[in-house]
Amino acid sequence: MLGIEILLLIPFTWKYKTLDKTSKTIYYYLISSIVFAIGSTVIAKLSKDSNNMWFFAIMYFIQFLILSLFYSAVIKNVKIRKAINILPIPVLIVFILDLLKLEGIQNYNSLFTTLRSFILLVYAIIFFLQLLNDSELIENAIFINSLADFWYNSGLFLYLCSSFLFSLTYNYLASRGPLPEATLSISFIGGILQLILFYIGFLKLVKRR
Amino acid sequence: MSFVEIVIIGAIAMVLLGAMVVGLVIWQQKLVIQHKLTIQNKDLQLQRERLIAVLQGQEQERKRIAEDLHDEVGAQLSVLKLNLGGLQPLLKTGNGEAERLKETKDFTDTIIQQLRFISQSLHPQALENLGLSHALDSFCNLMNKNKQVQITFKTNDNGQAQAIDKDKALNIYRVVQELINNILKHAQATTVTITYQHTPNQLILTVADDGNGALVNSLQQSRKKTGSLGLKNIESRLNIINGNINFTPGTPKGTLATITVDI
Repeated sequence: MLGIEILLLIPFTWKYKTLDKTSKTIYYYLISSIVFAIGSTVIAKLSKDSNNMWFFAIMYFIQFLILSLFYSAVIKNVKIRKAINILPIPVLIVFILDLLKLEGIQNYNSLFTTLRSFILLVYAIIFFLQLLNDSELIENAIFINSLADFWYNSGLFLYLCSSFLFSLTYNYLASRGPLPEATLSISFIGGILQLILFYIGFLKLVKRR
Repeated sequence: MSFVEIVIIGAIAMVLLGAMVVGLVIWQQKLVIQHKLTIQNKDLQLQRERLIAVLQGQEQERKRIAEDLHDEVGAQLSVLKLNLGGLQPLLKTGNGEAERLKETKDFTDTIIQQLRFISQSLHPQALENLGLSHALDSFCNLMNKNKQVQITFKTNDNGQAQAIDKDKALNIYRVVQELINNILKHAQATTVTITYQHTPNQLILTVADDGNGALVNSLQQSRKKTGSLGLKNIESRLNIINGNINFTPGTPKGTLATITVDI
């Protein structure tokens, strides 16, 4: 994604022992983002045709699994949790089909990526709705902006919003020549916002502890 | 507009919408909690009003009973005492009738004293006529006549301090009454000192005893229980008049209760 996740990784690593289950998932997500950023650059330089699209697809799938763990931990509804735990299987099938058959190793797997982004957006909205209707929070007058999970979810939601349309149209845009700079800028803004919100979530967690 | 431009505008719109959703979620939940807190405050207010009404009803009933006892039963007993006094010269001496009559008269006197005590406890007339400081002083004198514990009353009120609201004064009086009852029941004290300090904005009352000091712990424990009526009564009354009470161990022994009320 951006590589600046390393900066955010410092406080997360520093306070690793005090992190709760969901914060640890976000920590792993940050590590995967760093691996993604470094890996894709290295592969692009090492490979003959500078193609790292297969690595993109694999990392997107790994991140999907990590974020599924996050949502499985924060969403309380048993049925939805069950669906979150089962969904990686059909997504894996789509991932393999798209990577090996539909769009191939050489192309950006927009079908799989869009499906992944869409599912994660739905999870994020479900979590927002859950927070809005959480009677425990209302009874105890706990504002959701004091919860780390809310900020993590907001960060993910904003980033997914910024990248969703590009995931869908990436191949088409790429086929028309170099990608417009605006697409990268929007993705970067989304990514930076995501990291800022993650950091706010981290601070809330530290404050609560 | 080209397709690329549409995608870019769409992406920007999605980011903005996403940010709006996050903002709206925070705002909506804040509204819900604020609404809930408003309802809770209204409930508390309603409970407070009910409590005030119950206590006022209780006080009115006490006043009525106290007046009935004092004005009717008390007056009748006084007439009885006078009649007994009138019989004394008419009695023949020798068979112990005069002694029996004197005993009956003394017994009537005791009943009248008891009746006054009950009537005063039910509704302190001095509170209405002379104010809180004098009413507490009179309460101490009354208690000293009837109990083993020596109660001393000290005040800085020279009679020129501003008058305390009648309802507030009555509630403070009841709190002190309840505290003294607790001391008599549980503290095994021999002396109690009530200090009355009056400033333009605040009234500070301390009730210090030289008892076993068990009152501090028992009060802390009874605070957690649901059935502890005495302390609940004290707290409810102080809550109504925006006062508070603090219990600390006395020096060298006993318990010191400090009541603070804004006036």
